[in-house]
Parts: sequence; structure tokens; C-alpha cells
Amino acid sequence: MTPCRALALGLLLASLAACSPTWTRVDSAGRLETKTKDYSVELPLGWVKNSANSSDLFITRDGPALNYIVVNRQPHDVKLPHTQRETRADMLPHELAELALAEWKSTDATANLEVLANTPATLGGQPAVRLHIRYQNERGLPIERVMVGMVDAKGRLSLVYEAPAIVYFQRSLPAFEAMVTSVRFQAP
Amino acid sequence: MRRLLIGALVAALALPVQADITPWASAAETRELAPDEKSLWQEAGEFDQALVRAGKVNPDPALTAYLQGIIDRLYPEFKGRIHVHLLNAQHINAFALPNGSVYVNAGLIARFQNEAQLATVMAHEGAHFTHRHSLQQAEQVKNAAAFALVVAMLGVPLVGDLVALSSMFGYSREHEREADEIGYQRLVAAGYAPRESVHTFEHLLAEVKAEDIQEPFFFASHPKLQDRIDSYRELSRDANSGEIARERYLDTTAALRLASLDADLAAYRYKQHILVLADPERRREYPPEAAYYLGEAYRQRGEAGDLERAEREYRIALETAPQFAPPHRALGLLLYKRGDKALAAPLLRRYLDLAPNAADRGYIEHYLKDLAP
Repeated sequence: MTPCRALALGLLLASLAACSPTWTRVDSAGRLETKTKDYSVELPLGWVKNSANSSDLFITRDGPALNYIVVNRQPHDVKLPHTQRETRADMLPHELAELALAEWKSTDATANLEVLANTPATLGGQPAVRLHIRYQNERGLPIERVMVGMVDAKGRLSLVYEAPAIVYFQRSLPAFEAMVTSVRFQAP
Repeated sequence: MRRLLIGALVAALALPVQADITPWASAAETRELAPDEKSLWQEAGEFDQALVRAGKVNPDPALTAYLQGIIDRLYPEFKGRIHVHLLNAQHINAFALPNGSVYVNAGLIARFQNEAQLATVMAHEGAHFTHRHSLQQAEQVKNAAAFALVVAMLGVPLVGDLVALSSMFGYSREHEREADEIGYQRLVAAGYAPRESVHTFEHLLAEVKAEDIQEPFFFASHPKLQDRIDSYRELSRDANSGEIARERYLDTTAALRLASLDADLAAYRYKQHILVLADPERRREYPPEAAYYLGEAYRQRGEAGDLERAEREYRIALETAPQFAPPHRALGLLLYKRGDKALAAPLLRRYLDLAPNAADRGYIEHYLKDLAP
């Protein structure tokens, strides 16, 4: 192999490595995640974390098509992708729930969206919303999704769990509930 | 990349029309299909099934029968061959598949004022089927140099993508003109008021302007809406009067149009509601509950003075439809946010009385605790 070819191959391999997502299994040593020096959350053991995802956290147990949990902490002025709306610190919990639903209903990928529960909740000791929905994806498969979210002066925080309604949703729901309970905000 | 490739394919579809594919004269002629056309029909059938599986088709038998009656009146010799389906989608869209399936979006029905206006769109879509525009486009595309590359890069079956492209992204401009002409003739022959066809496109243009959108799918390669309004006006200038069927349309579609308001607002699509419901003439097409939906649209828009406008509409709804729960909630929450606790509490309690199984009961009870003296 000529030096030039070797260099080209090396660059190609390096770029491929850079593009590929980094998956790491969650073990007891790396379980506690502290994000943006603002909040911490405990991840379920044995799940797999994708560190290349643009969200704060993206984890799955059996693969993203079968279950995943995504966590996002964003400032209010980052617009939501479908409705192009921003959140506000003075939003009442039901207004946040309404906006989350509007965001989900604004895409054709969620047919027959049905709200199974929409209730006040707490997250890290602060007032929050809990939304539980069911919809059909583009292949007709029933999917269930739970979101627990809140707003404060700094922005919004949401934890979303999604899985096919049959078998998978119930199976990993306790792991999600434990994760929600583990959220702690750091003292300013 | 995919968008670029689809663009190349759409450009290929805009090539001159094949002249040797003759239109069908009746349903009987569709019994024997050439292999290429058979393949198109098969793919279209699969597309039909995929839409059902994905929960996109509204199965309401009364509404479907009503829509079917309109197309059968427009194309009586194709009765049993053209099948109309109602799609649970709010975008202003309609499309025809090569096998005679015609899809009409709920959002399109919600925008029109009478049957003649809807019939204008359905007559146009029926013409795409009877004049075999999908097959013509398939033949054109086969000859396009870009097509092999497109198919290879997209990695999708030729016909499946073609069905989706020609049906949903729009046909060529020539096909659209032809469908306009044939559709207009069918509208007149069926006894509908030809002048309503002008209003059909005026509504669509108003919608496009209100939403500040460039081109919805239905119009992707259509002639400009203003040009079509002008040409339909010219065509219908000396036309005889015909049936408008306003009452029948409003009665049959009342529940769908109300549900459409709900679905739009749930997705924060409020602009068209303000466009329609703030117009006193259009407002009369809706039941008293419409005041609540207009109030919600103002609240969602959130411009200066909109909260006051919303409050006014909520109060109108409370007066004209006192058993309708949502305006009690909406006004109660507006007053709660404003700090008018004494006024908010009875409204929220009344809301829970009227809607004991409300999905948001937990929030309302939470706010009521906060309002307790």
C-alpha cells in the first residue's frame, strides 16, 4: 500500500469511527449522571447509553425500536421542532401538557393519538406534568409513551419513555419510574 | 439528498405527456389491464392497505357514503370503480391513486362551505383516474435518464415510489390542466353550480396565505392558484346556475368540521380558525360552540389584545352553549392566571360538573385547591 493510500484509508476509518454512535452499557460505576451541573439522574442498570445522541441522555434496553428513554434539558428559547413554540417559566402545568400534546399531534407519525392520562406530577421536588399516550406508528403498530416534564427559570426538563404497547411498554415501565424518582436538582 | 432525488423525479414527471394512452370511457374498460398498469394498480392497492393499517382512514360509514355519492354523481359510468376514502388528516389535500381510490382529507372538507365546492375537487381527482394520468407518468418516467439513478439511490420499488410521488406530490402541469378541464365539465354535467368552483380555489388561496405556506402537496405542480381562479371564473362566467347543496353539506359534515376544529387546535394550528371563524358569514356555518374554538385560537396566537378577544369569545360560548364544558374551563383558567380567584373557582367547578371524566381533572382539582379560601 502506498503512503498516500494508507493515509486515505486511515482518514476514512477515522471519519467512520467519528460518525458511529458510541454505545456503553450502564453499570453501577457509571450509573449516576450529572448533567449541565444542574440536575442528576440514576440510569437503570443493564441499559445501553448512546453518547452520540444530541439529547442530554438517550438509553435503551433492547434497541431503540423496542424501548428507549430520552432526557432533555433545554432553555426556554429553543423552539420545539413541530409547533415552533417556546416554553416559558410561568407556564402552568396543564399548559406544558397542552404544548407537549400539540407537539406530538403536529406530526403525521402519530396516528390515532389517544391520551391515557394527563395529570399533575412532581419532578425533583418541583411541580411537573405526567402525560401517557398511545398512538399508531406509520406501520400501524400501537406505541405507548410517557413523559414527565417541568419548567423552571432555567428552562424545561423532560423524561420520555416509549415502547410498543404490546409486551415491551409494561416491561420497562418500572425502570422509567425509578429514573423519574431519582431526578435531583443541584443547589444553585 | 432524498429531497434532491425526489426533485429530479418530479422534474422527470413534468416532461410532455404520452399521447397514446386513451382515457377510459367506463368502469367496464378497466377490467383488462396491461401488465404495467396492473402493476401500478397492485401497488396502489398496497398503498390503500398501508393507510388503513396506519390508522389514517376514517371509517365513518355515513360520511364515506356521502362522499361516495358525490363521486358517483360526477362519474356515474364509473360507479363501483372509483372509491372515495376519508383521511384523518388536517392538511388541505386530496389525491387519486391509479386504481380509482380517491382520498379526501378531513381538513379539506372543513374548509369548504357547500357540496359544490367539494365536488369541484373530487371531479378533478376523478379525472386523474379516468384519464390514466398515473400510467402516463409511469411511461414518461421510464424514459427519463434521471430515473434509473433516482431509483437506485432511493432503494425503493419503482412503482411504489411513483404511486406516492404522482398521487401525493402532484401530477405534471399538463395533467393538472386536463383534470381541471375534465373536472369542470363533470361538475356542470352533474348539475352542480359551476360558479362555486371559483370559491373552491379562493378558499384554498386564503388558506395558503393565512398559513404562509408556499405550496401544499395538492398544488405541488398545479398551475398557480390565482391563475386557476381566473380560468374557472372565465369558464363559469356564462354558466347556468346549478345545485350548491349548502344545507346538506353543512348538516352532513357538521360533526366532522367541529372535530376538525378540535384537532387543529390540539396541534396549535390556529391561523385558519381565526380566518374562518372571525368571518361572520362563515361563523354561521358552525354551531354556537364555535365561539369557544375561536377563543382558543386567539389564546394560542397570543398577540396583543388576543387574551381579551379570547375572553369575549369564551363568554359568548358560555351564553350560547351553556352545557358545553370547555369554555367553562378556558375562562376559568384565564381568570385563574389573571388572579381573579373568586371568579375562576365557580367556572372550574362547573367544568368538572359538566365533564366529570375530563382527562385533565387532576390539574383542575389541583388549581381548585389553590383557589380555596
